[in-house]
Amino acid sequence: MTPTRVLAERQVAGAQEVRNAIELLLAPISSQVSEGNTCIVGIQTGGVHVANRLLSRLHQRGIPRPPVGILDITLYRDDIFIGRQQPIVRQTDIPFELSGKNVILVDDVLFTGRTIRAALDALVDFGRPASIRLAVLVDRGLREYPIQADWVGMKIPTVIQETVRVELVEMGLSDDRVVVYTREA
Amino acid sequence: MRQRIVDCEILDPASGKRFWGYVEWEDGVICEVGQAGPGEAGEVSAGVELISAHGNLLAPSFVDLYADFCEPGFEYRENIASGSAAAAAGGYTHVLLRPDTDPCVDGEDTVRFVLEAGAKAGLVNVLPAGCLSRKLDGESLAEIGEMADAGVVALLEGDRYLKKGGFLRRCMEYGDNFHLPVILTNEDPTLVEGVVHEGLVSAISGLKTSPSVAEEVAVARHIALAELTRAKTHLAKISSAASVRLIKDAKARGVPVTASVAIHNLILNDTSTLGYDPMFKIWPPARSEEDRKLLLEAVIDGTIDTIVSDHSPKATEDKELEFDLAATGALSIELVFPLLNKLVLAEELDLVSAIRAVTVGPRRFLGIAGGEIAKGQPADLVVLDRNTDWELDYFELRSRGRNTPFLGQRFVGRTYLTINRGRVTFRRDG
Amino acid sequence: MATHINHLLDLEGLSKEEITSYLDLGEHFKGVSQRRIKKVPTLRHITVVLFFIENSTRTKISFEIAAKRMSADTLSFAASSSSLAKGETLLDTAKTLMAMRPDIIVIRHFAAGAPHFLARNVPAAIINAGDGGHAHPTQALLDMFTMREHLGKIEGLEVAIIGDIGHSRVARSNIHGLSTMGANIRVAGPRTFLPPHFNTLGVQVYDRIEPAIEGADVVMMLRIQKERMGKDLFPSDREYARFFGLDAQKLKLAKPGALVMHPGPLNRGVEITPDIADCNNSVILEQVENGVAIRMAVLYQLGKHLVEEA
Repeated sequence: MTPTRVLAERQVAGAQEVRNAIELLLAPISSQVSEGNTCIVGIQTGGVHVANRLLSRLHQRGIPRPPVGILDITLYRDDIFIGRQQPIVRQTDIPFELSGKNVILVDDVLFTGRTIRAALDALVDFGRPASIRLAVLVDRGLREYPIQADWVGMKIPTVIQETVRVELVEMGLSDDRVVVYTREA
Repeated sequence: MRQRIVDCEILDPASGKRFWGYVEWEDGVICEVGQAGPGEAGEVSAGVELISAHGNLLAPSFVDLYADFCEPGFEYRENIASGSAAAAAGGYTHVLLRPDTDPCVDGEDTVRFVLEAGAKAGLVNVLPAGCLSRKLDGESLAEIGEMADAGVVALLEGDRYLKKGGFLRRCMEYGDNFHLPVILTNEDPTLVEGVVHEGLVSAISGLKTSPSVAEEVAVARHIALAELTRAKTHLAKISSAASVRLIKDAKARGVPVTASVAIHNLILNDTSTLGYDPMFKIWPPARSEEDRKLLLEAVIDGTIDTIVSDHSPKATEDKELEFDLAATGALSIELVFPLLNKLVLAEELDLVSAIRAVTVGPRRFLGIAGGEIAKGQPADLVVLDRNTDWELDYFELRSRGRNTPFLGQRFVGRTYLTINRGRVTFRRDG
Repeated sequence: MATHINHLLDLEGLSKEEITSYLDLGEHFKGVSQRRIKKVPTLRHITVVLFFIENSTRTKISFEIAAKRMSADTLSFAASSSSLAKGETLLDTAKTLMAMRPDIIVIRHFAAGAPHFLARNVPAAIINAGDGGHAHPTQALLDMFTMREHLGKIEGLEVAIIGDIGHSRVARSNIHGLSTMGANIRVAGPRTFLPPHFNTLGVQVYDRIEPAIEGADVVMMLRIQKERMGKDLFPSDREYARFFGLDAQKLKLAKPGALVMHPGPLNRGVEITPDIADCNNSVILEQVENGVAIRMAVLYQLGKHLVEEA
């Protein structure tokens, strides 16, 4: 894909706002995990980093680590054949029995809902979960499928031409922030 | 009726002379050759018809020693009429035809058929060859004496190798009895699996091979038999450096052999088979680049006397197949000059050697007059345009076949006019 | 029609990066095959035709499983029961197949260059499953995948390939692929099986098995086609087994832990003794499993961009 120029970039959340959003998610997640029979599955790649942040916060609170999985949804996408970009298949690893468990699915940004739709299809191929709850750090609106998150860290209104990027130190960056930018068409 | 061709650069390949001038003939025999500047006609007597060569090159007409006109038996590929039209367009006035038709030319009735068909088409002198063996069985002599009387000019078994060396010896002796030379192709079939040169390229492509040694062994056998029988022998379609070495040595010893190379073996090497395109499936195989360069040197130094077309038209449905199953051979007689010109422009062959190999060499072998632009010689001439840039398209070809690897390619140079005993048998339009 | 068609005809034209991406994808698809539901929906929009003019059970089944695990539809076509037996040409048969709009054609044929012929004449993505003595790219990819899985890398490996090299498409494709990936290759076989030009392909050529196996990381035995035995290439099973077959004694010359590989099917007791075919070093059965994963990767790579323009 030919790289396009970034026209405008603005930071919509700094380190403190990101940490607040994480804490917002942490409350319901901790109680779910404490009830037991719960696992956390992060969606590649952004959701994996958010999941790692949540796990380290859970650890700091002394909550025993639940089973953790990572899920790549490339093979389940509905736009695999529109060759806009070379989709890279990344690792999927669900090293435990999914059937009967309560799954907390984690992603960084909820947008059209297509990624989550693909993730649901992938998860049920692994087993029959007792329940699936969705936790997202950022909800940017503009849904195309009837999909909503159970727990949202922060809401950011956007328009279709914009792209939202979540940056976390887990990605090797200097600090947490959320950035919105527009590319030329 | 006297005619004079003017505004031409005359090339006489036998002497190597090149000059601007004119050639006048009457009743098919040259009566005057003179010098004149480009565009000038010299002093013209009354009643002489002028033909303009438009500043192009004038040479003796071409003679082919190896072409397949497929008739009788395979008229769906080519017939004597269409083959003649293609040959005239290629600048040829005389073509020796492969006799391995169906029925094959092994007796006077088939010889007469071929001569009549050629005369009816009226464009080239069709020179029939006769088979060595009856019905091509490789074991019993054909009626060579009768064929000689009927007008056969040489003996040839087609692209076949006579397995019985003893029989070949008898053929050569018997043919020599009637002063008929023998034309032999050279490949021991027990040494080959396919038609692709055995080398690095075939190691990669996995195609079935024909190693040079299969030709070398055959050439050695034929040279030895020629030496023994003293029969006039022509080793046709040489493709490897190893064979050239044997021929050079034999000639130095005075063995009565001559040799030819097919035009495609001067142009292509074995890398042409890498795309598995059956249009490049030819025999003898295009060999390595080293072989190709040595073949060109052999034409220049005369070890190889003649360049032949090996015109082999094939039906399209026989070529549109997987390489292994596709028919072998390419049509060529209309393309010989453009291909030769390509070599001359690339400075791989000089013009005089190229023209000599299709004019003087073959005539000398057959013992026919011509090949020289001089008073008293037959007016068998060709005008060659060496400059026009053109593209070979499907409809261009006069042959019934379309099997050439050069479809869609651009060439520089083509024939302009062919004159057979003073009569124009081909004129390029446009 | 498809927006852009790619083919896999042979390994000669592939770069190191392209081969590596097939191997990396193979890992993901091996993972899919180990799940409870051994399927992903990725190629559900694709129809794959298995066009096997030359017979083969193992390769055909391998491609069929691979296609089904990608949720593609498959159509199978065998030469003997087909119109080809009645004299229809390859081209006409392929054009008839095209009327059913397949997206991918997997072809195995006894004539070298047949897949290239199809690729020129038929608007589908073509995968070469073996063309005469020329190439068998998916076999070489699965062989390299197996090596990488066990030995961690391909670059710098000493790989010995033993058998009828001259007629082997498995040998050719492995030689091309392994060279591109930086391995060092030795080939060995009786002189009658070694065409004279292979040393120019960058491999060391031996006419005895021992120097080829010495110090090897991988020993790959090729199948001896028994129909060639007793004719003009090799006198007998017994003589071949003694001088060129792999047994425990000869294997000792290789590095400890060297992999024993074979594309199958085995001639037990001819090119390989039964105890070695089943020993700890042997990865022959894994090659079969990896074959499905690699073929899923190839189908994915070629199939993912094929789409009908609306």
